[in-house]
Amino acid sequence: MRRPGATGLGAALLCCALGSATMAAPAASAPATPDFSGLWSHGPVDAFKPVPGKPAATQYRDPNPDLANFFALKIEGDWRNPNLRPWAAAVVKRHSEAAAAGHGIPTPQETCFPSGVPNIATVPAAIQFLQTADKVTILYMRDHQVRQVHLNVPHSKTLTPTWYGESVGRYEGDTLVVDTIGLNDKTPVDFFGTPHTEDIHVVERYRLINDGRNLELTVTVTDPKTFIAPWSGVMTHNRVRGKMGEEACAENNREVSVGEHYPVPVQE
Amino acid sequence: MAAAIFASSAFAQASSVAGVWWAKAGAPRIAPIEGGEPPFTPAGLAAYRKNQAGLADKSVQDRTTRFCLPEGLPRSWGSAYPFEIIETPGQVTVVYEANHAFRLIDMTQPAPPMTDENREPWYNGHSYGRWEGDTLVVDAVDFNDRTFIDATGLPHSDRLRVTERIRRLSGGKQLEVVATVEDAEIFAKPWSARFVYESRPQIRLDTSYTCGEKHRDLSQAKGGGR
Repeated sequence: MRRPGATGLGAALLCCALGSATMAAPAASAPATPDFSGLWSHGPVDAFKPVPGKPAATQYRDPNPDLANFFALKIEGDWRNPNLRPWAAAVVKRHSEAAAAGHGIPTPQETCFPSGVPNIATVPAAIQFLQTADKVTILYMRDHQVRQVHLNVPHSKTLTPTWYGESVGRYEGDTLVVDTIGLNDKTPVDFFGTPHTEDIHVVERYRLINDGRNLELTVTVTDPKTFIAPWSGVMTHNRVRGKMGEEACAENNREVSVGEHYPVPVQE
Repeated sequence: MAAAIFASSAFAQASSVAGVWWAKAGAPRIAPIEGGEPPFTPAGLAAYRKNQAGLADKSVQDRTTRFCLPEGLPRSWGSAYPFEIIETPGQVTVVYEANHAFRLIDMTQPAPPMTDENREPWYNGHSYGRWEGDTLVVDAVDFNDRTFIDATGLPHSDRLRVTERIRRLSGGKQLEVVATVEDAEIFAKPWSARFVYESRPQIRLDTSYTCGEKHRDLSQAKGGGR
């Protein structure tokens, strides 16, 4: 319960976890299951980093993007990614050109809709893993979004597409493997507006690296209607100190979104 | 710190309120256990009547419902949708399916004294918990004044303090939450509301809840369905 140092966009995106609580200590005896406790976040300009030898996610048009452009939400993706089907490349181009013109097409983060998978992994705000026997619950500070990964069970036979679909998972040694299907097509996969269809299949692999200082996420995305081949990308999270903040997106209480304001979902 | 975490963790294994819980019906009106209206101060009663009239003639907006903001306490406990309590070392987390809201209850320290200098008012306040036998006792402090206590417009100030006593009943088939509300600006004395939920281990939370979209079939609340 400590006053945040700043609530501007930069602070919200860079720090995202403000306060005084310290990290939970690593479990004393957890032989097989990696311990992801604590808070994690990553920098604001992260695209999914390419994995050598594999098709890549959409990257920045400018290989050295200006941080100021990010804060102004002028995020331009490279629609010439050879792995994009023509219709998907056209969508990325539209987003990129709109951003360059100063009127970016809003992302779910600006409009207070759920972020979807794997897009939620691109959001630079604190996340926390709650690891229990039969599931992993992932808490996202950004508009208090939540995912649950059901361990060691198969996918349901029939699924109606939803914002978060269905995630099942398992531990493979030091890695948590999360398999997600049943996603609707209302979210992009990244900040660049790269689209996907309801056929998308996302596999996330989480593991600790650098002696536990970082949490590495490797995603593999399969969606033949959108991507010519499955692509892989890496997002590296840093340990962050503090207490996960409370966000109310519709009231923009942490000033995450600046400049243009968009209509938000309402309930009559 | 580590010792405190392991101590609370070990104790939590003996006493647990973890699981998916669902009320048979939501509670739009939250009232004292003994019935009637809460023990208002004159200013509190005037504020409530103003809210009631305003909600009726639409001059006051229930922003919590319209924009799916965090509902605050104890209103969150009146939800018509299920919630899950998750216990991990040093923390108890409540994930409410409605608006995928969550509360992190810090089990490692008592609620710090609230001073004008250290305040960071939140919709759901800041929660600090401890076990008293088989009962999880949570002190929630430092709220903003942007929520109602219930859907009828029951007001509170930013001096609200809510103490929750959470325990299993009926051999674990039910969960009882007794929430005690203190707010000297609005209420002449503390008062308590009681909520009872059914254990629903077969239910998976649907965390895709989105404001204004059709969500779960509430007729399942009475039992039977998944």
